[in-house]
Amino acid sequence: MNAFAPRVSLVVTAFALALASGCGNPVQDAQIAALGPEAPGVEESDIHRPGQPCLLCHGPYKAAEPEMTVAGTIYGYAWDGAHAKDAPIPVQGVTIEISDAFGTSPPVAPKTNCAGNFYLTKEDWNPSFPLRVAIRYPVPGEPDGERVSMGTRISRDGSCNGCHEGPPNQGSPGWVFCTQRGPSAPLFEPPKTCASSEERED
Amino acid sequence: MNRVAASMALAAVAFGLLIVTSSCLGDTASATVTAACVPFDPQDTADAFVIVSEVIERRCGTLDCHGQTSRPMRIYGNAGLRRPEPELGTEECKKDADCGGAGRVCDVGLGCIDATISDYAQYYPGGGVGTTPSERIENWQTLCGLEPELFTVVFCCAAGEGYCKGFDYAGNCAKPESYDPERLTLVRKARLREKHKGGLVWNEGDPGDVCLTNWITGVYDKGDAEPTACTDELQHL
Repeated sequence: MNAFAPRVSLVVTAFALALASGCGNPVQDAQIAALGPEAPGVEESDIHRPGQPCLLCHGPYKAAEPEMTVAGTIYGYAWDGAHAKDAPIPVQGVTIEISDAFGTSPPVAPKTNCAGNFYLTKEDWNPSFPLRVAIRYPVPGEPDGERVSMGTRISRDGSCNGCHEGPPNQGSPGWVFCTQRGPSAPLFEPPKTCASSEERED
Repeated sequence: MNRVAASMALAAVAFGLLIVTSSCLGDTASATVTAACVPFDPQDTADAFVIVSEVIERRCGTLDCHGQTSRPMRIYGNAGLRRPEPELGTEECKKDADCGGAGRVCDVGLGCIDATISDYAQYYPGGGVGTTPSERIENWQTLCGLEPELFTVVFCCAAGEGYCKGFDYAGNCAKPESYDPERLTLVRKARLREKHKGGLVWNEGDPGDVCLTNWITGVYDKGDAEPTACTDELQHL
């Protein structure tokens, strides 16, 4: 029996290792891998990876610091002197007005930074889904800006860019824009410089 | 030692045989299943399912829930995932007759699409093309097909004797609890009577719940009530 004991412990260890390795989520791992590397010259900060689903890493699965509950990127169209450019640009200073199933809202409404990014951490606000959301974007000459609300509720994904990704297609309404593209839509100037919150504090 | 190893090997073989045997039963067993669902005419814009579908699209079919291709109960519509258009393999169509089925037309060079898609560039979630009849057919099939036998019992018993032709009313509907709508996963999940990742959608008796259960039990189909509960539910969104 004693000679058998090491074999049993080996089997038990192998079984435990197999169980532990089976705890990953291959779907989410593949989604994270598909995001690719960081953009050159942009370090991991509040301005990195605009337009990507933040909670893939900063959510419960990977729990990358800071762990977020709601996060996304807001875009607008720029003016090239004659026309609205096709390429989206980030819009800074957009206020996110959001409330959850119990009618609570974050103590301080988040605003987008120069990369168009905003986020709420678990400590800021840990909502109960579904969520209602609207954005208020800056318009020159209008102190309160313009408010537009989302047509449906957010049911369970705190990453705006989890659904709002790329140009509109049959599986996505496209990135979140302040306005529809059109002749009367307000246009935005791209930020001249963009530094992370840590760099701004230095 | 050898006896232990031999016993384990024997147990493993027995378990394997059990699995193989049970997995083969489905191929050899035969059964006749009668399935029925609430009638739906996709070309009739006044059909009650149009608004029932809209409630489900907006409350369940968002892109981060049942508006995902990976969901068994997949919902299509303007508020979420769009039904793939054009139909795969129809790129060579030349005329509407090539597309088959009512409400399908040939957009030459593109393929077979729903006839109500007037501007294909607007066919995306939240775009200018509303939910199409083809999408409603898919939604109808997914709701009816989730538990088809049970749905049949709930609908045909609740609707009344003789409503479903060929249905064994006496054999299925003797006890009211046997056709309680809450027997359906669709109803239980929304009421959070069983685990639901999307949480509580509505409580029993809320407008959305009444809208869904009235449709399931044939109340709208028989004309016993107008789908005002559905309208009320949509006003809350």
